[in-house]
Amino acid sequence: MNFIDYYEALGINKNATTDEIKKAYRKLARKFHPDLNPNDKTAHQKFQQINEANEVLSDPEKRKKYDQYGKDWKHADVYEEARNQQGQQRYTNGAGSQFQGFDENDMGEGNFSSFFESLFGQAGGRRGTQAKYRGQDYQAELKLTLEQAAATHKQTITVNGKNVRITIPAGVENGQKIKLNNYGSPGVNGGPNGDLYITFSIMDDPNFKRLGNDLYSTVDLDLYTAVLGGDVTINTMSGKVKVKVKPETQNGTKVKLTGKGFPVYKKEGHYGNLYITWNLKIPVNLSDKEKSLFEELSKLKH
Amino acid sequence: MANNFIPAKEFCMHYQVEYAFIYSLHESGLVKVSGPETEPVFDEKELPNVERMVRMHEELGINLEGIEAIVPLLDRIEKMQAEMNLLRNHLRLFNFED
Repeated sequence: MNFIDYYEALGINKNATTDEIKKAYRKLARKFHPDLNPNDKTAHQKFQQINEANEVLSDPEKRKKYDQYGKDWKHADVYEEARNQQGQQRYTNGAGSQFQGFDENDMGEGNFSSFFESLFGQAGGRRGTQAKYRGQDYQAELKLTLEQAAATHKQTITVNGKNVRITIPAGVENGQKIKLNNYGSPGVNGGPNGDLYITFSIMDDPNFKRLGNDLYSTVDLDLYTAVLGGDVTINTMSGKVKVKVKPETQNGTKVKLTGKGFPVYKKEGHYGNLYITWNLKIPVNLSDKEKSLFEELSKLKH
Repeated sequence: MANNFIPAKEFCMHYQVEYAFIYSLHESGLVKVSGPETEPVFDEKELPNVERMVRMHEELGINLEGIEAIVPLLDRIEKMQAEMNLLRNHLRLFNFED
């Protein structure tokens, strides 16, 4: 936890008037406000900083306290009080899952630095017009393996201490966002709840690459099968299948396995294709006999 | 499916904004206000959108003309972001992912 220079955050000097502060804040807010920077985490963080700076500097009492104790906040008498508030968890993560937590995105407020909280206690007491009607939206990221994304399944995630059991339909895309109505923060004065947005982040798979509903995989093929043809057993997402290899198959040849690809989102029973690329393996560590047979073959070459 | 409606005047009281502002958003085609003149309402689905425009106006000091210009641009940004994401997913096939 470090000292934060709120004046610097707003780009103003220590003697700035209330009007100058307001102007500087508005100018920066227009640049970084989450409303104007959809899906931009860097801008949201930046906005939180300037929002926090404005919260302190535009309030004469807070500003006075900050000017007085700011740099020595560790020794300020408020420190003890703040200590009691540490350890209070802001966000709860899903038990053991890869749930990434969420941030209260809608307004970009709500996240105050620990420095701020040491000095002023936990956020809150926002001035003026900020009372919202509709609750805030929450944003969450859920990491899935390709395998998890291939099957409809349920996961329980914890948002603000509340367990939410969600069904993840097979076939979700990397970066896809789903909205859960009313799972955001509660509204005030009878206003509706905010929504919960979950963005799926699908991890790379060592065996399969995905392009929409199709899967791509490179599979090793031994020389003899490539030359003479035969059956090769390969892995698909839904189990092993036998694939016929034509005689004299060249390296890099692609084979299409219809319906062995990825499930189509919200279309049960529909699947994309699996494209196999054969990667020819030349035999190594040949025995003398093998070598001489190859020599014989090479002499036969027309 | 039944839609819920938000009474515009109650909304304005809550946000301390003039109803005239909401009405000018309506005139600009940025939100659809319906119902009787004495009790205008808008669709609850529009609420996040209306709240966003109120924030632009109140917090960021952006006037109506500015909002009219910004909102379609934001829509375009979001569409482009979705398209970029799609293209990025395609690139993953070729290992060009950053």
